[in-house]
Amino acid sequence: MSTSSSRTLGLDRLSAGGAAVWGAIALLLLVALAVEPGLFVDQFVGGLVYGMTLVLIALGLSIILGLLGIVNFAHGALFMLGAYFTYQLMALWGLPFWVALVVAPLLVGLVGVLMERLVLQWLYDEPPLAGLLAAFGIALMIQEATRAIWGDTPLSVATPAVLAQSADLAVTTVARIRLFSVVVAALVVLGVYLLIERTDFGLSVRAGVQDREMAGFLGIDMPRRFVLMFFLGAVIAGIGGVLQGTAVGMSPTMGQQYIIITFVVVVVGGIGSLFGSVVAGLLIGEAVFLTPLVLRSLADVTGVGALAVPGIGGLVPYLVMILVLLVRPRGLYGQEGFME
Amino acid sequence: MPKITRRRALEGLGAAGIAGLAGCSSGPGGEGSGSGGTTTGSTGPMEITLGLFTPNSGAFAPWGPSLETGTRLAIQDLENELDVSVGLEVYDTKTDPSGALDAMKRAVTADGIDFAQGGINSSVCTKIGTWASDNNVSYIGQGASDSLRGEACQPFMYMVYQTNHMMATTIGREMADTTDNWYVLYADYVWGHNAEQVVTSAVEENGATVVGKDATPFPNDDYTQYINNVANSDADGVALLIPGPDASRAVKQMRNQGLTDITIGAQMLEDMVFWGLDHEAAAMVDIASMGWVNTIDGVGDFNDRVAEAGELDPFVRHAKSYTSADQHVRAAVRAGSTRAEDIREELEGHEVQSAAKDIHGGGEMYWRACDHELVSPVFSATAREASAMQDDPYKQWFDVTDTTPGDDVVRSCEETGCTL
Repeated sequence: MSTSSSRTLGLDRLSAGGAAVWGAIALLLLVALAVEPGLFVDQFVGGLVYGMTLVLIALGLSIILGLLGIVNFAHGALFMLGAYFTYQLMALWGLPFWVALVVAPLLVGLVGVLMERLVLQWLYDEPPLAGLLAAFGIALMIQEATRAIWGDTPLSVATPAVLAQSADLAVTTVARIRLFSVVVAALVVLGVYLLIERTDFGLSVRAGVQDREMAGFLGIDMPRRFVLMFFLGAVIAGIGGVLQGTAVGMSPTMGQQYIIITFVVVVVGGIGSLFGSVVAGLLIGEAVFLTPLVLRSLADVTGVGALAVPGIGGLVPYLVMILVLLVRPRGLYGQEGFME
Repeated sequence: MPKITRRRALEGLGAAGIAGLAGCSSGPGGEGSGSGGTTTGSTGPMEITLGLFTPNSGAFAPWGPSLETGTRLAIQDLENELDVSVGLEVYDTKTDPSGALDAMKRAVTADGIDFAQGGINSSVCTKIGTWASDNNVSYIGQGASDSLRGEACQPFMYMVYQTNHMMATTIGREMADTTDNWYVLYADYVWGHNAEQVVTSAVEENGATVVGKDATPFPNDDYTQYINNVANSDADGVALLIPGPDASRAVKQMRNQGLTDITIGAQMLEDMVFWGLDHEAAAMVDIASMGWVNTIDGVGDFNDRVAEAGELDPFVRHAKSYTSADQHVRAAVRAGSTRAEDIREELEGHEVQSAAKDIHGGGEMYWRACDHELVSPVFSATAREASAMQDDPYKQWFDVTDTTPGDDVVRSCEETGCTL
């Protein structure tokens, strides 16, 4: 992967200016590490965990966007449904977390299949805007249905005992539920990669994406494969919802809050690139956690207090997106000609 | 959003004028002025139409039903006690100033409400309160922002919720009394910035220290990086100047991350947002400033009535809505008129003596003339032990630890910047 990736990123043609930028970033990180080593490690690990959470949410979106060409604005609503199904299973029906972790994503997957069969399948050949608007409408319907069933009040479920405490990693402590989320996200990424890249099923799906008509002539049942891929994308959103709902809690607007940042991840990674989504999620996670620390350290070292901009963390994902798109308008791993 | 054109503006003015004329001619006394406003006749109960503006959709939708329940309970009591008949019209603010303004215009010009109340977020209150006041309609809002009693104050706009400044001053003093070194997390918008300044001043004036502070995005799901900052500081207390469910998310994540020994202080806490948490996480809140708590002495059967009537367990918005309707209608009855000028005369300087005072614990409450703030006590509270939290027939998770008279923490008239 390293050779092709560096070629894709243009690292083999790294200019003097580019090298200077990377060097400056490395220097700033070293300053932060020197000024507050303990906090630096905490934030680095925190950024990794947050980044993997973003990856988990963005992956399903990227699958549906990359393989089916649908800008699934309802992905955030599916993510939210994963959290609310967890509440239904755990808080109202008394089932354990581990059951919810399996059942809730499957239920979300079924909702995804219904979306695809009833609405989105008719829009594959339409301009992307049609699919986007349809998905947006579905998202609103799901959100209002959630309000009607579970109410508006924010809810949460008890974190299972084994995940409720913090884990001591020697250099820092991290909430176990977040570490567990990282592990699950990594397994999901690996599983999706193997499915798409190493199986006949994945090969046929990729063939269909390149030329659906030809794949059909060759006897590949593309509609069925698209349904399965939509199911997979929805299931992954559901897994994200289960984990986030357990770690943080849930509200009917949680999908809206995440869908924007998830799109940022997908755009930065390059639309349609699963690997790009992973890299972008981790990049944005680390940037969100480390940028305020770097600026604060720089303010300490230089004595210029204005450098420690309060509340900069919320802007960082968008700043990263702007910078990446200025240098690479297709995102880090975007394909030429895809959705252009 | 529709584009405003000269034609559209003239249409609006025309509709307002017609409705205003209708309003003037409908009252028995016929002394109305502007849109809305009637005076009583000599026979039959005084008839009033009250417009309630509540967020039944949007980010504050969870709060919506409480405003209607509190208002309806007040109407019930008022009709039993006074010779008055109150009709209620409910409008969705959608937690959106423009949407709320459209609703207010419709309520006044088409539906003919006599006066208005409601609105939670300050941006909505400012928008609809300003328009109502400009059109001679009396309005009582529930925004906590200082600007509503400051540069944005209006002659016929009143606020029933304690101000951000009052709450922040109260919690700042409590924090300094509780422990010495504090880390402040505040929401990165006007409300949070105001609270941070007041809390920091109050903490430092009372001998404690703010060792660090972070502005946090709002709304926000992940507080880990800020919790890391707290954990790596010398703080033995963390102040959460974060509204709504975000505060409960932060507490839950602190617990997950093992930060359970630190003292937690919360500004303007509304216990409803903690009811979605498990008991153990909610029990971590050590001190909080609150506008009302359902464990106040003297609250009487108000809690039971709310629990029976509404979808939500009793919390501050029920009490504030009750108080708004109670005060508005009583002022109209005393004046024998719903005209904004007459209500203003009745409210300015008026000391609350009704059931609204009882459910607030009986402390002094009065309408200050200079900024139209209902000066009332601020409550300090602490979360109960998890095992002592009551869930049935309604939730009672917080106990009052102290009551600060409103006059002790309210800004002076000169400080507000309001020129009423």
